[in-house]
Amino acid sequence: MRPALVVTALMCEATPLIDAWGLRPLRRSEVEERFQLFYGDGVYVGVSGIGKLRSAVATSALLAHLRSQDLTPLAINIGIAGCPAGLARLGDLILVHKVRDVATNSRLYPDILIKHHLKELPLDTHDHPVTTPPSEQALVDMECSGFMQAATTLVSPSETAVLKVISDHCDGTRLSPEQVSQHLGAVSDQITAVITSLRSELPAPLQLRTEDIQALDFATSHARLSVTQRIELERAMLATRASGKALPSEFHSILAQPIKSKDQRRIAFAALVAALRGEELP
Amino acid sequence: MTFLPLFSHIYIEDAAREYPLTEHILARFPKAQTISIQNYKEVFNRPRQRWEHQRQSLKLILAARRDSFLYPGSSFVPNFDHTRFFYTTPILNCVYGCEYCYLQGLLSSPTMVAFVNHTAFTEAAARELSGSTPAYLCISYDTDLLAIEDIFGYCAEWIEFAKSHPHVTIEIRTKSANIRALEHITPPSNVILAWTLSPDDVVKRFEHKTPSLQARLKAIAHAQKLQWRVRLCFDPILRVKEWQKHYQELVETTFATIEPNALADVSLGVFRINSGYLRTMQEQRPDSRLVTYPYHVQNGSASYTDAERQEMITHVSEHTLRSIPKEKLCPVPWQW
Repeated sequence: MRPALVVTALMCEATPLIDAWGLRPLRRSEVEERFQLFYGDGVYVGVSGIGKLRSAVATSALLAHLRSQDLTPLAINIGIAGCPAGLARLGDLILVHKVRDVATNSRLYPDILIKHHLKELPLDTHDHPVTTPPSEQALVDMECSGFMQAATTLVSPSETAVLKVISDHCDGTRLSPEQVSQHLGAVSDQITAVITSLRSELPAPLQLRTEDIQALDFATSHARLSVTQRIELERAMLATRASGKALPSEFHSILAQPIKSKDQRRIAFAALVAALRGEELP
Repeated sequence: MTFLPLFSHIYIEDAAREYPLTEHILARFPKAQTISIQNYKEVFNRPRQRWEHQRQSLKLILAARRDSFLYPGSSFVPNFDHTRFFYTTPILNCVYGCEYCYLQGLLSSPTMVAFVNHTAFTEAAARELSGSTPAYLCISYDTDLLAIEDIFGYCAEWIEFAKSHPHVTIEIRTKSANIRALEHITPPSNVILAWTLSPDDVVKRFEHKTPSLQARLKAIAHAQKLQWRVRLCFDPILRVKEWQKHYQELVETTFATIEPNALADVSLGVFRINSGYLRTMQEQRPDSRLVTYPYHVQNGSASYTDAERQEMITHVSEHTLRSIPKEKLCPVPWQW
């Protein structure tokens, strides 16, 4: 199954998920310590702190950190949110299909492709706590627009999801950390079901293996390939891997020859691509 | 089935809400989640969209087009001897999933965009195509309008337009078998239903979600019975394994089922695509042998080599000419 990164604002939002999924803390690097990263069975949970800026920073840092380890996780924001009374009941788990940053009016849309049993609603991210019911028929929180902006710079909108538990009706209620954890804990099974569906149905983009990247690096330096040529060669290597084949032996024999002149480079590059793509008809 | 069904989510531009077609479409999908948007591009043009994910659960955007109602015809497609050659895009994207489709390279998402201000399109066409000089207008290039006629009704609207503009020939290109949707219309002589036909092997392997060859042929035969002008398009011809056998069978099966004398014409074209679109498709679909095949690139166009193209056109045209006279055969000009 595909790895997933869950970002919460508060430790008390993360705790019920960490308990439900039996996650353990990771402390291998500054990023992991700074954002209190937890891991188990392909799922990572990180804690950003309150506010859209902190959420954006944590999401960027954690996604970049995991991608540096050749992981391509889904990005999921989970937490509590308020809403006007009548829109949803306290304790309801909501799947968000539109995120609006109230300060800038920018709008972001997580794709919802997988079947689910949750109510869907839009969400507005505010810069300050909302203590009086808003006129918009939308959830309110303080992080989601930051999360979405950061996540969608690194992953596609279909690889993001936002799940919110209704904690208040914007009436000024202040929740203790224990109450927040109770809200999340009560819906952890539903959250698990959604995340499991996403992880199993949305395949990661095809990537080159470590040995392919080494071969690509060698070809680039030995044949002094241009940036464009390197990209085309990488694409041909991906196609080879996608068809379930190994790199052809000619690939290495072509690179065993000395490549000095521009002409030799052009010929070697064409031969490499031809060896990878082959002439077999589809 | 884990993925949500077709049009589970409908995004609606604020400017599109006032149009009757919006109401009609929403009534067809009462269970759809509706999401308000200000401009269709904020959903359609999001960066880093994954085509292969989104294709599993196609969404719909209802929008109002503000400009660019008509485009000059592309040099990649035949103009059938018309100097005034245009196409229009009442809908972007297609319910079918043909693996070779250029839309994968042209558009950033498979999400369908339906422009509900249809009158603005026909008014623009009336302005642009005024006078009596013959004009040719393709209305189903970036989509398959007949396949979704039951939902949108665009074909019927354009056929009405054709009736009041006899100098404009309208082509409705399709792979659909949905001729039933046009049964209630009296066919005008300046509307051509152009069916794309491919061998069964190609339909099964590369034209995902499209009707079978047999279903298309049955629809064509019915269209002929209803007196529609019909064009056959053996286009794109793909150089697949045993392509000679597959295309010979295609031609023979076709003319064994439908009446060749009643055809308007037959168009032939070998697979060709803008090389930039092909590069984008190769990034999106490294797993597709059809997309990653080493095509010959020349003047911004990717296709087979000249000799291969010549061989393919000759093979298919030879078999076709056994059933139709030469004057009814229209190959894409640059392929000869």
